[in-house]
Amino acid sequence: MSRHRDALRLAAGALDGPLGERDSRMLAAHLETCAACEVETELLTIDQDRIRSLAPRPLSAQTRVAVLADIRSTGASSSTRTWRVVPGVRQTNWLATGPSFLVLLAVLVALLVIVGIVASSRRLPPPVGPARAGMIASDLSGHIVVTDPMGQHPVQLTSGPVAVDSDPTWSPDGTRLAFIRQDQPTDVNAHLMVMNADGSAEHPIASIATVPVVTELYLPTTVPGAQLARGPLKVGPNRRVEWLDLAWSLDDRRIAFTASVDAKSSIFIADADGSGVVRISDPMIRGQHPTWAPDGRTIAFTSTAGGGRSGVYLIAPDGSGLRRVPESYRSIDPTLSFAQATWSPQGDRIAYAVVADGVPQVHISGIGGDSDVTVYAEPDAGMDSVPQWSPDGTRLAWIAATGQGGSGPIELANAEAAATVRSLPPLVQGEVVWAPDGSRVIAREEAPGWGAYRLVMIDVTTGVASAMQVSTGAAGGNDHGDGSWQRLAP
Amino acid sequence: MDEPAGVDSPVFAVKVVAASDDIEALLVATFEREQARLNAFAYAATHDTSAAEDAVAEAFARLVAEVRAGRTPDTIEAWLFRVCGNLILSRGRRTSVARRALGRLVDRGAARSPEDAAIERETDSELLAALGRLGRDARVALLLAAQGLSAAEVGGAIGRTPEATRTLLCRSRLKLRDELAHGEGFDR
Repeated sequence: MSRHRDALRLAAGALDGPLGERDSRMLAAHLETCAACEVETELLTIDQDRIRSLAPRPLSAQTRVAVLADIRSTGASSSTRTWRVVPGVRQTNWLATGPSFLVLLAVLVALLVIVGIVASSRRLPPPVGPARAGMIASDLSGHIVVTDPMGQHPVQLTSGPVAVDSDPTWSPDGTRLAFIRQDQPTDVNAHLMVMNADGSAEHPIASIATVPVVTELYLPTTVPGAQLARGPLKVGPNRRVEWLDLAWSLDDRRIAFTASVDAKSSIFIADADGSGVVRISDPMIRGQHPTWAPDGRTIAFTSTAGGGRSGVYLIAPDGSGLRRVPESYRSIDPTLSFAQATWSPQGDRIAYAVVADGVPQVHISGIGGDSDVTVYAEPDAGMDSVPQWSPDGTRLAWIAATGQGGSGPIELANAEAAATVRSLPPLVQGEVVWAPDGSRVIAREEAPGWGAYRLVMIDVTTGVASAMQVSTGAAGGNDHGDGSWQRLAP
Repeated sequence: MDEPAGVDSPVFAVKVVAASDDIEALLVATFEREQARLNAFAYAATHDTSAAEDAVAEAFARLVAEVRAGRTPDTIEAWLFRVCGNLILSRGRRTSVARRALGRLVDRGAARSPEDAAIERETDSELLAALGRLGRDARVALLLAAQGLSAAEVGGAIGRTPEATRTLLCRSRLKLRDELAHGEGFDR
């Protein structure tokens, strides 16, 4: 290397800290005799100044709005936190204030009376939008368990000795839990169950073996001349029958669910009072994952039937008005694989996950299907998760399965202004469940040393994660299913 | 002499609320002061308007979380640049932030904003082009160093030792000089 190049290397290094004595002398000696290198050294400094002086680039209006909203929304929640106790600050002695204490006491009594009256009227939360966070339900080793809003103090609600209970789902008003009960040990029957929030009044509202319409799932209904048989479904070891994906209507009166026979699925609706079950989607579409629109007039579901039939569909609860969104997918790729679609709380948009050309993506689509946009596309990720709206509809969260076993970080997007996507650090699986107040999410993570799953709660502001208490003792085991969060009146 | 207020007193409540408001005011002021420079830094590092804004937005989101958690950085400006640089590097291979068209769901009108128009008037194209021909690590290191961060601080942001960072910076400065010299039409 030439002396000139060595000198420039030293000059460049000098910009990041003092050189050693020997190097300093060498550089100074060279610059005294080489005007060209002196100029180059000056240019190196000028380059640094030019970088520092790059013209400011104001953020776009939407990003500004999003960041400022983040700052201000966090501030609002912060100001409602419990007052801090300052050590050394003397407590005011209210007893010493005489009459003012009596006035305060009278006000307190009046408030208690008012609170009692309000409580006795049993306030219920709104069916959509933010609400107060109540109990968290999940299935733990075949039993339904609830914890407090912080994921602690679990209580086992079901204890059927010859059944496996799963998929607990809170009603929108937070008063009841629906779940699936699979008979054991033969798996010959399953029931859609409902019980009160405290585990009382547990009863089935539908059972696979006694719902004739389920048989239509595996009949060749589109073959000309085929006879439509009705009657008890014959199930057994070689026939896999599942009910799953429970979704309460927002008036708490009906439950939509997926019924699957030999992997052929369709959408059904059961009345929550047990008065009936109807199938609403064509078995050829292979519908699954139903979700109710906030207005209760439409159900969205997804299909992975292939052959150009995959997609996100909308249908009325009576089975009429079937259509697909977004329409653009009809002719593009018949092999698309869709995961569940979810409605925004405002009911004007649908978020869904899709794998296209092997790339998992998250989309948001207007109901008209003319504004389908990509929120996320990650070639290196799997996509077993469903994008879930925050209760206020401003954010979306899903799991990008970039790790082993389908685990990955929760990705968080600002759905309103499309400005921020960030990752919450713990590697989790399953579905993201928002707290009704939007402050936290829960998901499953692999429990260390157990080969089983536990629920983990993550603060969406700080990213701090905490494992929920994993065992009730009575239930035994540590294998949690996805959670469901009870909504309470604010 | 006045007695100190108890924690249940209205006076104390007002103080706490005021403290909360102060935090918000601090964050808003910091955002207004730094966002354009930080975005210029991020754009120079990424050459991608959307990716740059994502990194800037996330850097501020993390700052908000830190401040709310009572961990306000000693030097917020340096902290923002360091975190933003780290975010850009850690997302280098990812294309996950692909919401370029999401804005269509939000009614923002057809007219371009003054900010967008200003961005179009690129005045540093030569320097940006030269930076773009460097590796991503080198680019981010130079940009951070230009903000006054020490080699140790730059190294902390890009995941290298101070010694390795100084070597990287030295080589990058010479490479950048070569690139600019070619652009200026000089044979070296």
